[in-house]
Amino acid sequence: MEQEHAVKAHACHRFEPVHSRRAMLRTSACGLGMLALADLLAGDSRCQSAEAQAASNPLAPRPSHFAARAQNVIFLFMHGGPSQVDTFDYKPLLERDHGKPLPFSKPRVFSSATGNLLKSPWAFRQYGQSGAWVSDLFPHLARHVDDLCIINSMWGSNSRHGGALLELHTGSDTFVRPSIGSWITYGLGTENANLPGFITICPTLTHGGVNAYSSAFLPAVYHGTPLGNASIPSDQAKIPFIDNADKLPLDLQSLELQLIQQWNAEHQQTRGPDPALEGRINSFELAFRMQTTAPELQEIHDETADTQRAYGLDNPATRNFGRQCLMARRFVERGVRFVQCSHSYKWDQHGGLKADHGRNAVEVDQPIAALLADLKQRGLLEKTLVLWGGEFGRTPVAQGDDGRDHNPQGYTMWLAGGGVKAGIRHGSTDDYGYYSVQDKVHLHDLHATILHLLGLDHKRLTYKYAGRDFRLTDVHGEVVHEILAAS
Amino acid sequence: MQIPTSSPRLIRWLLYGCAVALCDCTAALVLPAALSSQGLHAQESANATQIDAEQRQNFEKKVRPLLAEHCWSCHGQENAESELRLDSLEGLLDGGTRGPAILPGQPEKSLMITAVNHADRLQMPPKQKLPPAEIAVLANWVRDGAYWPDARPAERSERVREAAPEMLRDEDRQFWAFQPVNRPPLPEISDRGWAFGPSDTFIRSRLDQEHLRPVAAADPATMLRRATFDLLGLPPAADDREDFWSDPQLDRFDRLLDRLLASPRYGERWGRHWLDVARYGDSNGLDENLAFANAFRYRDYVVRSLNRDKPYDQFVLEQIAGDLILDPAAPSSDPLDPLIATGFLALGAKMLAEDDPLKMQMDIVDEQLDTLGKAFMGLTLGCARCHDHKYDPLSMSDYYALAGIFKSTKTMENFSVVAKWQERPLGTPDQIAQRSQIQATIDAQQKQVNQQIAALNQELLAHVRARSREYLLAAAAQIWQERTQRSIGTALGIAAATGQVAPVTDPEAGSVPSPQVLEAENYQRGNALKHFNGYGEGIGVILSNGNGGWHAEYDLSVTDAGWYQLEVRYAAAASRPTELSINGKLVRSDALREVTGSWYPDTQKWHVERVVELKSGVNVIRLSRFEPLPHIDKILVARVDPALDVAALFAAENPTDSSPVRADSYELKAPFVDQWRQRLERAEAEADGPLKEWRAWMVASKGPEFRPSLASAQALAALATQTGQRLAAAEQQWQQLLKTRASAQAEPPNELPDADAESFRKLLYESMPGAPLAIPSNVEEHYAPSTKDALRRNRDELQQLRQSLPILPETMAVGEGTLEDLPIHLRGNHTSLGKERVPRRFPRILDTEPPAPLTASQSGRLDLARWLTRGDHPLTSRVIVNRIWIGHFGDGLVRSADNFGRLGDRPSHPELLDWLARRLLDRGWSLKSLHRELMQTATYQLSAENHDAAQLADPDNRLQWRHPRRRLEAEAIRDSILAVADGLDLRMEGSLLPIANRAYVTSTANVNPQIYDSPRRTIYLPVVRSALYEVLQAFDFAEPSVLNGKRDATTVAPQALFMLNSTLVAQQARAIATQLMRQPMQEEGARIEWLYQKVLGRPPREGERAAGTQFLQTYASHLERSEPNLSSDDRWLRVWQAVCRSLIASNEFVYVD
Repeated sequence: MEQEHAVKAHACHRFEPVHSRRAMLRTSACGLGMLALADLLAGDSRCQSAEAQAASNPLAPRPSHFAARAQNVIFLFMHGGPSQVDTFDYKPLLERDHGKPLPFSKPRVFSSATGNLLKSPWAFRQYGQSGAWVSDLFPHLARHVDDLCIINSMWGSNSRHGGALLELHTGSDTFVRPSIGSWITYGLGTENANLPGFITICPTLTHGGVNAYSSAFLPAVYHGTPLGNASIPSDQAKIPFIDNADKLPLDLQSLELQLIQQWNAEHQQTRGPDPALEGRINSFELAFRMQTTAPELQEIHDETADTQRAYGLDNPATRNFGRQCLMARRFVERGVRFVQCSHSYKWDQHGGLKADHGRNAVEVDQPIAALLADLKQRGLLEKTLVLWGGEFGRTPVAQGDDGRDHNPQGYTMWLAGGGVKAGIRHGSTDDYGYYSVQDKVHLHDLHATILHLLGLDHKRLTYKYAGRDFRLTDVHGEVVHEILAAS
Repeated sequence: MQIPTSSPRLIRWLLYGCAVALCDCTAALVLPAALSSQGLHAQESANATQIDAEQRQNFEKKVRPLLAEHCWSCHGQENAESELRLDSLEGLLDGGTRGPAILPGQPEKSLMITAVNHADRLQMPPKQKLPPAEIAVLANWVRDGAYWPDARPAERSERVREAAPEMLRDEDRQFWAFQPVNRPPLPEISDRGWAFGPSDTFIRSRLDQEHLRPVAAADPATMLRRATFDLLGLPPAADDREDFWSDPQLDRFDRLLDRLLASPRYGERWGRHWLDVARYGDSNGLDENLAFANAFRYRDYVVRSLNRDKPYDQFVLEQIAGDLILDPAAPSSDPLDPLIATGFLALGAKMLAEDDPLKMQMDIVDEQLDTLGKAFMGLTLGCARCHDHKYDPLSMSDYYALAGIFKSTKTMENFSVVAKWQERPLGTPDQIAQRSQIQATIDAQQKQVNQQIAALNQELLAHVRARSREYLLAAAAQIWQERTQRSIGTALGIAAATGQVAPVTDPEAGSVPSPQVLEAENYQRGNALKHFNGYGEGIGVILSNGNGGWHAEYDLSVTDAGWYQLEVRYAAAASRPTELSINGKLVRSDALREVTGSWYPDTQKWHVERVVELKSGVNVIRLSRFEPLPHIDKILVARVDPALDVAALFAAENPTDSSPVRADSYELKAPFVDQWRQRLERAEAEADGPLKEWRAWMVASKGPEFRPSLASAQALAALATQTGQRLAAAEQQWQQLLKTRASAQAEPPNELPDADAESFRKLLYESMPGAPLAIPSNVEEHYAPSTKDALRRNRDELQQLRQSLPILPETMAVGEGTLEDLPIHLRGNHTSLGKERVPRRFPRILDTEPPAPLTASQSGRLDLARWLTRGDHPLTSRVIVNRIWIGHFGDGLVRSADNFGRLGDRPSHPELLDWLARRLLDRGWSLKSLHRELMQTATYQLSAENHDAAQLADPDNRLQWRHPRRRLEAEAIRDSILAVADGLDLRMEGSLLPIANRAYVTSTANVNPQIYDSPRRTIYLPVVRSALYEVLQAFDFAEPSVLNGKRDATTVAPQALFMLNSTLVAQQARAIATQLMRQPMQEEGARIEWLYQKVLGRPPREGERAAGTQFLQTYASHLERSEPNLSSDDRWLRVWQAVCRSLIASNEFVYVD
């Protein structure tokens, strides 16, 4: 089954001579782009059955392996590594033993020397029915704890940003591998032919850069489409080349498109049927539709003032990430499969923990709370899996007197919506929040679980490359059944 | 070895196949018990002795249940993951793939105990750490000898430890790719007149077998375009077209090939193909994206080599071992090219911030090996790193035999975080010798300076250690001051801030005189800047600008000598600790360190800085800082209640010294006082350890009810004295121990035997940040002035030497390292090594029997390179022939260009592949001859037309019944756009990367798009890994971190967006339109014709001309409506620009038939 799946999905862009209507469509990454073309080419090019389209279009929605709980994913990536013991992992003993040495050994491999235990500068309180502990860093988000599934027992294998960031996004901390968004789009396709299936808003350019959203050896259609990058405010983040360099109005561009397609049709008549040529004709149609859909990609002017305010767009501190969150909601609403928002490389507090974690939290707290509320109110949360976290956590021991070092040994991520149990905490770290000790969840397990929620078996979602069947979880990963909601 | 069966199949399964079963690393193999091996250590173990009843009970009640519950499901009878069983003592002692699980008596050295502690990468049980009490049970049990009731020494048995010895099956040996390259006879074909040359017969013969006929030959215009794009990556220029068409001879195609192959553009085109294989990049990518600013030399070397038709065997040899055949005196125009060539091995993407240096090194070796295997042999060697190759006869021994060669090769300068790759100078031997001589002097000098500093630091630390008690008293004085200030000072500060200066009354004393307030800007001496606007709006502040050593001095007269509190009012958005001195003595190094929130007056606050002793008459207060000052408004000085005689307090408790000890009374080094103070303050949270007595005082003095008193000062001074004495005692013991050991010529000690004394000694010897005697960052300021001068002189000399170093260009290159054979890394893990080292050699399947010995004095790289290029190597020639074939036919005779192994594809025409490989060897490995060979075939010159029957029979065109239509690659598209607009800059070589070597190319949020604003050919644009130029990315540029012998050619919407919207296309279309407007002809049809010639190199057909003409009018009128103010000339320029863009965007422009 997975073999067949893999073949179908990637056969689509190879050169293949035409021997059937269906094959003709295969090389096209955009089998739906037949509308205007129909006027230009002979009548037999008219639309095919939906089945034929699905088989031919690598981005067409595809059935999952089993019933899916979630349709879409929003990943809120906190680049740098937020501290678990200052956010969602309350450790009374850390507070009590502040200043004392850690009573057990530190990991063999670490980033830099650390000192004694450092209590959190923020108070923790319990919220909601679930009574989950949240620090004062996240007052807005704290009101949504009953929607969250907080995993306190995350762990990974790499203590450096570069390796850990790749591991989080691709499962490998050593090699260039397809990112999780690419795998998911490859597995499920996307539901809006006019938008990319995998969008990453303002991705970071460092610590692996593109590798965090690249399709690597998967076909290029599954590559994440970046909207801007971390150097660009989110209100200016755009798809590459979506805006015309000379700011041509659409009517003039549409005339150009007509001319191109007329010439292409002439060309094609002298060459005979060729799926590659036809695919390229289609791609221009899709590109033009994408361009006309561009406002959905870039603008939010049709959102109400209340909505914009809820996401914090009226406040300079929250405006940037708030807009990312709002765009993320708009995208999943329109069927984009995987959306990533990045709060880029801000959470790396080797020093200045108090000031900088404080500022970072302010920047994301209200927007994330608004996103959860908005998704819920629109009935989208049920089918949208929201994931929050960084590439690792931080040490409960101090670096200097106001900082914490990297810590992949035990940290917190949370999920919401999309078929996870709401209002629970899963797993735990030791008394001080250094190591994950109970119900440990490795990144591979998280990946397996995310795929599972999307109806994909991580062992069956494979792609053959360099003589081997590859999968997101390599040879690891176990679905964390304890956090799945009863269906 | 004893094998209990005679079935060869089972043996095979056990010896080779078993490792295959491990491939997915999920389940280890359980070997039949009879095969279970490994000499048993049980006889030697503690178990040989009797177990007492208590132990038996403890084992059965605690240990065994623990093992059963948590371990046996994976390491028991049913499963034995990692070949480890924990259900018997011999299982534990015998261990698994990582070695023995326990060492009886030594829990800290027992793998099982570190694993259950989750102290390292191996963490067991994997899901959930055991509770501490249970870990303790296991640790104690191991410590007490790992007693196991009724354990019997098991029978000696054999077990296969390292999977897969070198047993090769006939089936493996007979695999096509490992057969010698044949010289096949030419087959008979149906139509001998069709074939142009021998290779055509192989193609035609296969078509005959399938009863298929090739399509007709392509027309000359198609061939001109096809050949030019194939060899140059550019469309035929007008001159080339002219030359071609004006050549009336029948063999004009041959002459075209001569011209094309002689063009320097050829090396650029095919050099880029090779760069895909060499996974070329101008930056590291992966984690720390540093500039490979010298990588371009390798790129230029490749272009140069191909243009000169360097024999392929030499090309290979140089890239693997060029440094070892280097002859800088050789009469060649580029004698250093072989060294540059080894950039092939050096420029892979690396995890430069890998914490584990050995892992980093092995990952780099792996990357080199994997790239080399695929590039030259089409073998996926990397698969054998963790387990024997699942499909190809490559064992882990083969892998580590080769890995040894690269481990013995030097690629990196170091493996620290961030690691430094090696670069080697490019110069004549004399230049390099001279340079290394100076470098050696520099290194020696630097070493001397380092030693000097180390010695001075030791001296300084010895001084600080020797005076621990004084430092402690000084630190205690500071603490007392701070704590007392908190209670008396705040009141004063508040009073000052409100302008109501009220005397403070102590219950036991009378009133004190009013404080004096100094305006900061009224300093007597100094260089601080005075601001009365902005930062000092309306009030006047002092501040400073940049680094430079800023200070302000105030003369302050007081009537009464005595103790005064000093406060400062300032604003600071960031902490700027400032030095405070009174009468020339530093009293506080971190005064004014608070952050108020901004640099503006609105956040100014009073801060209590220090209680100081002033003399009667004029006192000098000095504030100074090297870096910018905080924004200072006022200074306040207020008399401390005389009843609270601070000096007396500290003089009170001082049994061994008659003079009072204060922080400012001795030449104590401020940073160490400060570090001691911080350390003592941390004791507030320490219920245990050497400073536990401090806790009570620290806690008590913290509360708001704390009042300064003689008693509190005495208590503190007593603590300081007591701790000081303990430190002195520990130091004395330590020195004594050192002496004793030295005289006995024994190993120097690690610690004092007495734990208590040791805890004090540690305080004096710990060096990590935060320790009291850590080396402060400004340590050199505390050296004696004469020493400082000597140091400065040495450094100046060093600087001069450095400047005299001749500047030689450098290149990323490898060299020979420390020679080393590697053991097998079990599961590819460098922390679990096999027992024996595998001698360096070539893979068995390709090697002679017995293995060819490598040159003992070298890494083996040169042997490897010679072996690969020996001519009879079955893979080297086949692989390169196939790569060249792909460049001309879009797909390979072997479609999996980089995998000739079992999982790769079989050749569609094995005889042809061999025939061509032979031909290559016969012609001295000349690649240009190979191009000619391929392009002069009838097969290459077929048209791209379709044929229904053939289509049905062979839809993939594996039999070459037609020529495939191909989309241009990213580089060819960009280069063509620039070329047709006459905008292509054909200069060769050199770097366009505007970033310093080893500097970060991309930071979190920055990549400079301007680096791509060059009209040079695309091969010269920087390849920034992890942040690829978006144009290249859109058109399937090969991922530059991994080798790629065949690119995809996808058709996705972003490519269309690039054509419709990008600046590049818009600009070049405009350039063409501008040229067009200058043409004499006015008639639209003629202009369209000119444009077609210019862009597509042919006249338009009627329908095309009509479509163009019709567009002109419609577009012009639309444009006139949307931009009515355009002049007619501008409007028509815009119209023609749109036509040009449409032509560039058209299918014909990007496809080659």
